[in-house]
Amino acid sequence: MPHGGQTGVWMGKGLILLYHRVADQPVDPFQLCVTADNFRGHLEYLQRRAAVVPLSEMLRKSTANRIAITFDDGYRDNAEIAAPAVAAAGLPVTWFITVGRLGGHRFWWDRLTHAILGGHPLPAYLEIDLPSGQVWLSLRTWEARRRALNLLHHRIRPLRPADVESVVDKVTSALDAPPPPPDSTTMTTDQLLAIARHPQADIGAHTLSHVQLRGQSIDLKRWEVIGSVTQLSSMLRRPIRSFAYPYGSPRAVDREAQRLAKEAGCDLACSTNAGLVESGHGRYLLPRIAVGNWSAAAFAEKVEAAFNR
Amino acid sequence: MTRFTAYLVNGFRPLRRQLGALRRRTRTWRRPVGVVAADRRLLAAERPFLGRDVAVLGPSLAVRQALPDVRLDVIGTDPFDPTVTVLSDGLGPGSLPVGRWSSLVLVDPPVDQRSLLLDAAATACRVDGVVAILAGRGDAEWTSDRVRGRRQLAKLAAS
Repeated sequence: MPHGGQTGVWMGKGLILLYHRVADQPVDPFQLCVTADNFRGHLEYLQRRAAVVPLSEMLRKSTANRIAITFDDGYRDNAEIAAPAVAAAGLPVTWFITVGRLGGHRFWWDRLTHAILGGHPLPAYLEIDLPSGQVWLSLRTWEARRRALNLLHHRIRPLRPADVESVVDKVTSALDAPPPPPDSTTMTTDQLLAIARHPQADIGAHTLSHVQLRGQSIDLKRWEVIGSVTQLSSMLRRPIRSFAYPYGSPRAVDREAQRLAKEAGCDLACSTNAGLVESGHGRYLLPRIAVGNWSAAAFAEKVEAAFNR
Repeated sequence: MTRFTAYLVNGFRPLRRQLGALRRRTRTWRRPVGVVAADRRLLAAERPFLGRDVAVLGPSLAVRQALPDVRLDVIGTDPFDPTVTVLSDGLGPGSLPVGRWSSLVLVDPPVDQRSLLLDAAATACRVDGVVAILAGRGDAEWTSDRVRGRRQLAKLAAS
C-alpha cells in the first residue's frame, strides 16, 4: 500500500525475503529449510504478483511495492534445487555466499544439530568446557536435547571461528557422533560459478567463515568482511555490491561491521531484522523477512499481511 | 495563613518529600526489603553448613549475594540464560550430576514437583551434603530451621 513519505511523494515498500535452504530435513531446529514443493509454490505466487525486483532496486524510490529474494549461507541445495527453480520462474535473486566455506563443507550448527539430534544413542548427559565456563547438559529426553542444542548454539555463536570449530569438535567427540549425512553441505566453487552465470542472479558476500561480527576484533572483522568481498570478487571477476551479516540480528551486527561493508565497496547490506524497507532506511542495515516452510497459501497471506501492516 | 501555620507547612514539606521518596522507593524496589533480602539473610546464617560447592535451582540472586565466595552452579532449563551452568529440569534421579555439590538450594520448589526435585537434589549432593529449601513461611510442608520475615529455610540431610 503506498504511503506518504517525508518528502510528500507516495512511496512503495520493499520486502526482502530471506531463505537459507530448499531441503526436506527430518530435523530442522533453526527453521532454515523450505521443502522443494513449498518453494515452488512461493515462486508461483511471486510470479503472479509480478513485484519481484533485483535487491539493488530496493534502494531506488518507487511508488510500487517491491519484493526481493535472497538466500544466505551458500548451501549445496541452493545450487541444485533453488537456483534452477528460480531461473525457471525468471525471477531475480541474490545469493549471499560464505566464501570460506565453499566446497562441500558443513556449517558448525549442522554438525552440532546432527551430534545432538541425529537419532544415534546418546549418553544421559554432556559435560563440556566452553570458553565461558563449564556446563553440564541433560540429554535424557528429546526436549532436554533441544534445550542443550540451543544453549550450545547460543554460547558458541559469539566465539572466534577457530574456537567455534574446536568446541564443536569437542562436542561431537564427547558424544561419539557419527559423521552427518552428506546432504547438508555447502556448494562447490563450480556450482557458484554456474549460478553466477545466470543473468538474473546477483552474488553477495556473507563473510569468510560465517562469524558473528559483533564482539570480534577489528582485524578479524576486516578480514571477514573485506576479505570475503575481495575473494568473491576475484573468483567471479566482477564487483560485489551486496553483503549480508551472519546471524544478522542487532545482537550480532555493530556499527563497525556496517562501516566495513561500505568500505568493501558494497552498496547495501542486509540484516535479519524483521521488517519492510521504507524511505529513510539505512542501506547498510536493510531488514528482511525470514521465510519458513510455509505452504503457498500461507506464504501469500504473510506477504500480503506484511505489506498491509 | 498565620505565621505559625506557615512555619508548620514549611517545616513539613522536606519531610513530606522524603516520605514520598521513601514510599516510591519501597513501591518500585521491593526486593531488598522482601523475599530476596530475607532469603539472603537466611542463607548467610547457614553459611557454615552449606560448604564451598553449592548449586541453586530457582531464582539465584539471593544465593549469589549470600554466598559470594563459593563455587556456584545455577540449575535451570532456559538455554538462553547466561547464568545457567547445569541445564536440566532437576526432576528425578539422573537429572543432575551425582554427588557433586556440598549443598543444593531449592528456591520455592513447585508443589507438584517437590518429591522429584528432592530425589534429584539428594543424589546430586555429597554424602554429607545438605539440601536447603527456601520457601514462604506459610508453606507447612517443611519443618523450618530458620524463619525471617515471610520466608523460611528448611535443611535436609542429603544422605
